[in-house]
Amino acid sequence: MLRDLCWVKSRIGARILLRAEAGKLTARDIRLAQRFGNDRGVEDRLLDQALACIRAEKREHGLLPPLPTDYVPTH
Amino acid sequence: MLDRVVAALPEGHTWKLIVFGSAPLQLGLDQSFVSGDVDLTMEFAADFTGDVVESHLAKAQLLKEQSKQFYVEVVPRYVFNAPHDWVTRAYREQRRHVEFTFPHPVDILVAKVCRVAEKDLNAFRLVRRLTGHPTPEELIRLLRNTVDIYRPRFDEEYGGDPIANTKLVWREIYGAEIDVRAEIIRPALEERRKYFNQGEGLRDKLRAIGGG
Repeated sequence: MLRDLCWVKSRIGARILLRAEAGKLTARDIRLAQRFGNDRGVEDRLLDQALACIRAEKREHGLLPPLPTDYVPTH
Repeated sequence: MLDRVVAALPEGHTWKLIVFGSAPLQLGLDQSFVSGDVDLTMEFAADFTGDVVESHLAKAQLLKEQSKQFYVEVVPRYVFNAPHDWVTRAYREQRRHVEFTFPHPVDILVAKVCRVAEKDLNAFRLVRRLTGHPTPEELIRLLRNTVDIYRPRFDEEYGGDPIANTKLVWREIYGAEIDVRAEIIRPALEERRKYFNQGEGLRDKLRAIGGG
C-alpha cells in the first residue's frame, strides 16, 4: 500500500519522540530527528496522530496498559 | 407570498431556497410580525444562482418596487450569519418544485445580532415571549458557534458592531450586562484551539532532539 510521504516521515518522527522519552535514542534517530524536525511535511498534528496510532498498536500488543473503560479522547 | 414564489419559478427543477429574516417568525410564531420584505437566499453549492431566481421573480413582479404589499429580496448567502449548526435545527417544507428551508427562530435572532435595530430587538422580545427561548445560556452557546461575527472588519467593509450589539441585546432582553470576550469569544476560540492545535510543540521537540 502506498503511503503518503508526510505521514511516513511523521510516523518515524513519532517513534523517535517515543524513544527519546524512553532514553533509547540512537545516532540514527538524532540524524533523522534533525532532518524531519526541519521538514515542512512533518507537522505537529501528524506527529500527534502518529503517536496515537503507535500507542494503540502497543496497547494491542500488550506493551502498554489498556485505556480506562471511561476513556474519552482529549485534543 | 411564498406560494407566489413557487408559482414564479419554473417547474422541472427543484429550487432550494432559505427563507430568513422576519418572515419565518411571522409564519411560525406571530402573523402580525410583518415587514416589507421576505429575505431569500440559497446554499453556496446550489445549482442555480440568486440572479436566476431574481430574474424569474422579476417577471412575476415580486421584487422591490414591483410588489406593493410585500416584496422578495434575494440576497447572497453570506448575509445570513447564523451559527454553523443552524441547519440541524431548521424546518424544511416542500411546496411542489420548491424546497423552502426555514431556520429555527433562535438562529434567526442570532443572525440579527450583526445589526440590532429596534425591530430586531422586537424580534427577540417576540420569540422570548412566545417560546421562552433563547435563555441567556442558550444564546451564549449559539453565539459561540457564530464567533466569527466578532472579528474585526476590513477597512472597506461596512457593518455594525456585533460586540456592542450583543451588550445591547443583553441589556434590553435579559436586563443584564455581559462581557462578550469572556463569555463568548474566548471560550469559543479555546474550543477551536483544542482541535486545531493538536500536538502543538511536537515538531519543535523533534527538532531539539536533532540538535535544532
